[in-house]
Amino acid sequence: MKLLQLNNLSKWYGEVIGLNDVTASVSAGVTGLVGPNGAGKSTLMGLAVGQLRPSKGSIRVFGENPWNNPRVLGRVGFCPEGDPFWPNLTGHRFVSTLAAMSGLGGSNRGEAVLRAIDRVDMREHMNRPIRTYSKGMRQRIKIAQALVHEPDLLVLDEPFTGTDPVGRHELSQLLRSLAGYGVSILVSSHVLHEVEALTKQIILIDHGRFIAEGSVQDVRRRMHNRPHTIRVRVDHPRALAIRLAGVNEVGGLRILDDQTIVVETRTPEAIYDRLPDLILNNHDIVYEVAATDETLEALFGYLVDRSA
Amino acid sequence: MSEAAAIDARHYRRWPGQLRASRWTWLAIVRQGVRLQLREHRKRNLLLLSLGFTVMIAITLYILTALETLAGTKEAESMIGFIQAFLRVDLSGITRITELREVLWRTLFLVISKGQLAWVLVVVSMIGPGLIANDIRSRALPIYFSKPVTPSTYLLGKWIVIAIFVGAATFIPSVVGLIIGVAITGGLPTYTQNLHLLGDVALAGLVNMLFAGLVILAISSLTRDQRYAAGGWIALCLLSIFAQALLTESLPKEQTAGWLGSISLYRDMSVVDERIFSVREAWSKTDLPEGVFNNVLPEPMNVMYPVSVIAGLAILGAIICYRRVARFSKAAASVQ
Repeated sequence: MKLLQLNNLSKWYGEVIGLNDVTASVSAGVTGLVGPNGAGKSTLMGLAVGQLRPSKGSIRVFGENPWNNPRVLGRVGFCPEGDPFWPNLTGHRFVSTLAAMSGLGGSNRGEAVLRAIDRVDMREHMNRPIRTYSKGMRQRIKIAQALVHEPDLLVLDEPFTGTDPVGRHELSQLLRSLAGYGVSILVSSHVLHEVEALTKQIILIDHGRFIAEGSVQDVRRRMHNRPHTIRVRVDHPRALAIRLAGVNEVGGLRILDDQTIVVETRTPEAIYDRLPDLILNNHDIVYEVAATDETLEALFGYLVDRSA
Repeated sequence: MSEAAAIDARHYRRWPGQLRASRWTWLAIVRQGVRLQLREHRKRNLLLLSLGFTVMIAITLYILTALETLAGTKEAESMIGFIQAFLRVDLSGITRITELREVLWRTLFLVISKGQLAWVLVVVSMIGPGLIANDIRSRALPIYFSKPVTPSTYLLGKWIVIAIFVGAATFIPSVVGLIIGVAITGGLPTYTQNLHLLGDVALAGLVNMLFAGLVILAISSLTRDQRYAAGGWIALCLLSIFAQALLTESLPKEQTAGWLGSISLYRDMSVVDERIFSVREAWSKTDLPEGVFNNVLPEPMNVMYPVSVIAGLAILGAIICYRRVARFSKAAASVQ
């Protein structure tokens, strides 16, 4: 069963379109939700955690409508964007209060709170007021409140925003360890290489519209209007360029410096097939062959470029 | 293996019990709200100051009881002076204080409730403005609504927080004062004679909680800055009093007997309290000369006008805060 199933899902706020006729699904595991500002990422997350009601279409989380549905919310942990804190509260009290709101009662609540705080490695700082926390610590305590009722699905809205490199690294490790427990994670972010490091599974949306889903490579291959670029670093790039110019599948060639040549093509597999022969025939030394735009960063760049 | 079983197999899930039903989530909001308020010294002091009403009630009941035996004697003169000044009734020449016990006790609680109305203005202006405004400012609403909390349960929790403080500043001091007064004065017969006062005090407190609670929640939901909410609440109360005074001065009495006489929220609440404590009815059952209680009773008017104003504002407040909170919960997940 899909964790999340969107069927012709639309959401609009008056005349502003948040999501427009999106059909997609999210399976177990970690899924990155990627899109530029205004793409509809937070709207999609709001719909997934039952904060918003679809204007059209339907959304199913664990096979049920999440709107006003405590059964679904009990299985979902949400970590919204920003700093949704009562700053004078300690981290422990913050998690404990939200644990009570999640329905955890009785003497076991205290243990569950400590367990969630331990999972995000905040035990040492839990009795300090949140206002004294660094950005990374705030993100972690926010994730602790989302984890406290041990949900099956964790929905994280821009968790990397504002964190420093160390904080980002720690957060990534935390998410990876949660994924290791089997928790499914839907994460939106602008820090694309972090998303890419977390998961190969992405959903791309732009201007409220679904663009693609799948692995980064799959999505890139489906962007037919954009030629692929392959960077080749060799000792004699000009000689290689002359030979590549005779290959039908090559759409364009650029020599960047005295070692690097960039090949543009719509059929990268054909170029990969031909390259060994072309290089070996010239007795050249190869330092690198890399697809430069099969990264999330490149996809995102294309997306924003097209939107502009 | 199912996904849930797969998670369990990795020892992720250790919570042994069932999650509590979502209809109880307001309890967590109440606990957190009260705890946050009580962290501030000035708010704790506010509640302690409310016990002044308890002291006033106990002292006055003690004096009234003493007067029942001392009336007509020289020692009673200063006591009567105090009662006349405090309750604003003319008791000169009256010696049958025992027969007036019920009406005088009712009058005492009416006077106290009037003082408490002014006190509610202060208490609500300190406790209520941040209840929703702070959540909006700190963008905490998405966190609330990601839990099994609906706008209704959220507002119920917030209303109970303000109701607890209004109750602690009005209802509880009155009840404690009544209990102490009964204990030190007459014992069981006095208690049974004035048992109805317990219900009256509870009803007056409930009206305060409903009206002030819903109106301040509505104002608090309209801003991110609790100072504006506090200003709005004080302005609403004081401007209504000034406007009423202005109209009373400038218009003939007949014109201010209807809706125009219900502009002052303080007066509206006083009229409702007077009806709850039934001082006028109790007074009319005695053979005291007309005018003895005129200073303490509000101008007679159709109670439907003030009741309509109070109920209307409370309902409007409930609608506003519900719509605002529901809107903010949606805006929290606005287009990104």
